[in-house]
Amino acid sequence: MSRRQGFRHPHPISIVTHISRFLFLLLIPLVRGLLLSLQGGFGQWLAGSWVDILMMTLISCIGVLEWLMSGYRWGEGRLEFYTGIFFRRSICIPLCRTSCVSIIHHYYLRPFGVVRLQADTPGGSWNRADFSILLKKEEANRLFDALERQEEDFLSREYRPRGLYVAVLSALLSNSFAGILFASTAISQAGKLLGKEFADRIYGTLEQITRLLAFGIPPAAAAIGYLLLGGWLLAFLVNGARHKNFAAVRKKESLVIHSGILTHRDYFLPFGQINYLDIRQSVTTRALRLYSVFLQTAGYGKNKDDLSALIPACNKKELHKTLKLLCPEFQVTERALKPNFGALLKFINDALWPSLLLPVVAWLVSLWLPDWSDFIWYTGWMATVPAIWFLLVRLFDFATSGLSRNGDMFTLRYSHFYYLHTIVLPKNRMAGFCLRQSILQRQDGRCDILVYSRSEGRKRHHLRNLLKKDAAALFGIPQAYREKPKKRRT
Amino acid sequence: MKEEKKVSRKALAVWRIRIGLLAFFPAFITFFFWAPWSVVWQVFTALWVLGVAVMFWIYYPIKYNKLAYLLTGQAFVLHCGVIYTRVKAIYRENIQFATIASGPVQRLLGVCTLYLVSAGGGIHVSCLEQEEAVRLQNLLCPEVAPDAREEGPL
Repeated sequence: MSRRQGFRHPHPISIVTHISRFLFLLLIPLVRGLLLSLQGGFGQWLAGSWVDILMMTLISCIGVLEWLMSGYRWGEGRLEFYTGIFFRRSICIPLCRTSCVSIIHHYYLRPFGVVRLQADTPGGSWNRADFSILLKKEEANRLFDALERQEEDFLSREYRPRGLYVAVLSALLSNSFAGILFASTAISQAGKLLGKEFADRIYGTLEQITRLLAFGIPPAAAAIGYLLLGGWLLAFLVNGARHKNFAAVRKKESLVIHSGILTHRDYFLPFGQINYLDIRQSVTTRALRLYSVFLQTAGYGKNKDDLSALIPACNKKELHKTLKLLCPEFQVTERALKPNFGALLKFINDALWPSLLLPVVAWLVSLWLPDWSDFIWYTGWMATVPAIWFLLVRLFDFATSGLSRNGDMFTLRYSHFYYLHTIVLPKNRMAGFCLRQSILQRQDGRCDILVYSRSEGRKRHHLRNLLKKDAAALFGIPQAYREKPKKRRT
Repeated sequence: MKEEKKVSRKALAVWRIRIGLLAFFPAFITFFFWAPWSVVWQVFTALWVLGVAVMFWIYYPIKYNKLAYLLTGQAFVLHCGVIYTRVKAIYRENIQFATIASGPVQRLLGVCTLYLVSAGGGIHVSCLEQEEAVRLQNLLCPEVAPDAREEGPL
């Protein structure tokens, strides 16, 4: 059990996390106690409690032993970690291979002066950090400082967004306007249809409060509305707390990002490991002419409560200014290739049919079942709202999508579900691409472009209906374009 | 390599043997539940026989005709697809490694599949002659040790 040369144990609080993994063993004494208490044998249970004590001791021993059998060290340009009692595992991560090093100051660990240090590389698990350890704050900071100190000779540039922009990002991540519209319409319709029935069941204080805040809406609809609104607000507050105090600092070869109120997060992102920039807009932010920029690099935004933003929100002028400040290498270029007007139907096809057919189907079904017509119309309308919203996204997509190249930097514009994306992707981060042509597209020499970017999983970007010949030339493979053989007239 | 190259002509044979082997399964069901007077039996039998025939005489010849590859200065390009025409490409600098694999049928006919793997994607070319696959692997993985190149993976 001797400690390896130069290695240090993680913080003793790791024992608690180790124990939590064996909590299932507590099921045995729990079930046993439950069975005996059902038989009224408290005395028996007491007499046999040594089994429970033994089990608790065993679990604690395993936790302590696992802590004793684990250690870490950093130096000589690498992070090393070993762990395991029976199945031993040793990890060695060269610091030059890391794509993200983060320190998470969880609010519940702060009283103990403990933080979680995580490191990730482009390899390994797609949903878990390659290296994760609890250690003293000072120790983690020392590593972070050492990483930052490598670039002391460079004048760093800092970006701090306005509070309003952080709020916009929080709102964008909490829900989309389509969801709000959907929820509010659903509430008013549900109030009309089910309000009375629901209202009978609401009683006590909740009923009083709801009635007070109903403002003329049926209490049931109001209750559901406030529930949804409360949930959205909660999500908004959580996102707001996560992104509050957001600051991004550009060093010579890296980006350092800090954020959070309750749980502080510090990220160190080597610039060379960034796969692409994603400038994202929803229909709402597009209408407000606001842009949010996200970073795609292994380890950043991997966990569900992680950050993935680089610029929470800004207008177009600020976007270019801030991108120049933080990552001048990633410059957005104007569209060189764009879809032709004839492609409009291809863009809106997926959204148009549901938008048209759902009300028609609702009308037909309501004719068939007149007793249920209110409910059918309500359901049909509810299903149509997201389809219309999707149609709007696709119309924006048609107007803005396209492809361009500036040296080794590609700019891809397309939509995916309810978001419009502008991807700035370096050539060396492109895992592959495919020019896909359907029988219909063959007639006018157009094609869909599927670009696969480098990532831990498979990340696809889909651009619609661009000229195949120009696309092949833009990707630097003009030889790949085959002229359509002309038919000879005899 | 400036000209497009076709894969081995044996590709057609490989695909046809594969579909022939796969056809044993519906054929077994057809004979096991022998009931030529039943409409369900007739429809099922007609469907799988038609499906195999279409694959055998229409789909695979088109697939073979369209399948071609090209190695340019900066990318490996593959033309493929029957219903959709596809041009798949991977920049040479982004290829992480290349693998050669062959199944029993491919080994029987002396062909193999070349996989070009990149981080987050990749493409494969099926039914290449072994020598050609090894040549491409060596061309696209310049870091392969000289000894390993001579020996070849098969």
